[in-house]
Amino acid sequence: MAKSMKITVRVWRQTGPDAPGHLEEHLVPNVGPDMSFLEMLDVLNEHLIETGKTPIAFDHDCREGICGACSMVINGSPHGPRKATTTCQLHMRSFDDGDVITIEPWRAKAFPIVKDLVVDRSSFDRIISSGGYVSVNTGGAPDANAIPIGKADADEAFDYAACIGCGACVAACPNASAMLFVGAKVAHLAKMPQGQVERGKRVLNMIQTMDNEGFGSCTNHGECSASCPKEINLDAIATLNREFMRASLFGK
Amino acid sequence: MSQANNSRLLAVMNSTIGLKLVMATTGFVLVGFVVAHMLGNLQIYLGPTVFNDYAQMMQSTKLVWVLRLIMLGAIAGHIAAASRLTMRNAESRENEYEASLKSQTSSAAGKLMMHTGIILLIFIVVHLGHFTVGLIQPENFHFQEMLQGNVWVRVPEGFDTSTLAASELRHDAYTMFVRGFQGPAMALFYIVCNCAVMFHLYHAVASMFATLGLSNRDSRGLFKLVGIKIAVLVLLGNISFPIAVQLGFVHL
Repeated sequence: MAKSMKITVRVWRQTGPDAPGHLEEHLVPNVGPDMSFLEMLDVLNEHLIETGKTPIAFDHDCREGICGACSMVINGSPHGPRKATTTCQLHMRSFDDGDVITIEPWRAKAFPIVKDLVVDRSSFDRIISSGGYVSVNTGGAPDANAIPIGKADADEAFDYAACIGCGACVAACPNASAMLFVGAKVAHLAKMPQGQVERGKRVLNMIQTMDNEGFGSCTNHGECSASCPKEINLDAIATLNREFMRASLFGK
Repeated sequence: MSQANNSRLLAVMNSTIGLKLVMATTGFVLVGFVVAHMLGNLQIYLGPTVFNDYAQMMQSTKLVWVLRLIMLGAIAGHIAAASRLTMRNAESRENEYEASLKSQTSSAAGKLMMHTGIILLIFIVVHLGHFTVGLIQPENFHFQEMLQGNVWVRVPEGFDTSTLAASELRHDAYTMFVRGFQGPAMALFYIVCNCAVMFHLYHAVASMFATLGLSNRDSRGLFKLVGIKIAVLVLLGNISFPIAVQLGFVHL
């Protein structure tokens, strides 16, 4: 059996949205290399509960890398050091015995802290509800493949649709910009025949909501794509810019 | 234009992407100018007659004022959009990370765009004061050439030009150029400022193509390379002038 590790975590504690926060240090003495990062926090939380302290609040849900809930910045990297990996899929074997790990929430004006590592990402929901959908008539479910879509377009749309809306792009961006997220949504639907009806209105409304929510602007550093657990390509941002110009000029 | 169109245009220009498009289009004009300006000035190596012919040609055409207005507009638009975007981006993350974000893709040049931009603004003001309006080193600004037969020769010191017709006199830009770079401090100032130009262009050109929606995963690397090549060529061309004067390759 693999040796257990001693890990020191410096974790952000904040009791509420307006409370001041600070880093709190804990030693986790029995960390197995095959534990996931969240399991390591579970172990720490059990210890905190047993000793009458408040456990660390963090978002998590599916724990299989597809829900996008497990938001935390680990040693300055959203979702930690491994490429294309969500925090729940990150294992402690990525760290060494004796490591000190700093864990912080996503930091952006548009993602206010709720408690500890939990942030309010409803600004993403508001961007989606302002245009990240297609309107379809009610009635019987249409047959699958009733509308043929070319393989290249389908593949590209699917790559953009892989976005899980976790917000790592915002957390990684020096400007806390949401351009990669919005770009992925806009590019996904712009590639599909079903997305054509609302194509122009969609991009203009989503950008307006993005700006109103207080996200920054893109300065083309590329940190978003490098931190994205689903490896959304920077093409999403170029496509978003193109769609925005197209809609601004032609209104559709 | 209808009111609806007006308000749409206003909304577009006030959005982050609209401001980015202002950055990119004005930047395109400015990059074009910087490259042309460097190439035009290479004529210094062909001697006083060719260089002063070029200066006279530029001065004589009404087009120069059109170009100047375009340049002033581009600079004003570039600065206005940059200021608004920078202020927005400064507000988009109110609390910084405790463990600073790990850079994966961003360059120092990209992160220092505002700093190099401010150096460029100072440089442009000094440069115009030096070579365009003659407020800096005014003693170098009054040199003239006169027509003898069909050859232009430098007006000797103390020569009375009041008997000559206006068409027989022209500004001696070559002498101004050489004398302007003879002071080591001024030569150094131009070299340092052109390093800032290089840094600015290093990030600017690739960023411009991305903002205009022109780059994708296949062309992004190429645009980056083109940007770096333009940055380095502009630097080499421009710093060659003060260096050539300092070393005596270009002399009176």
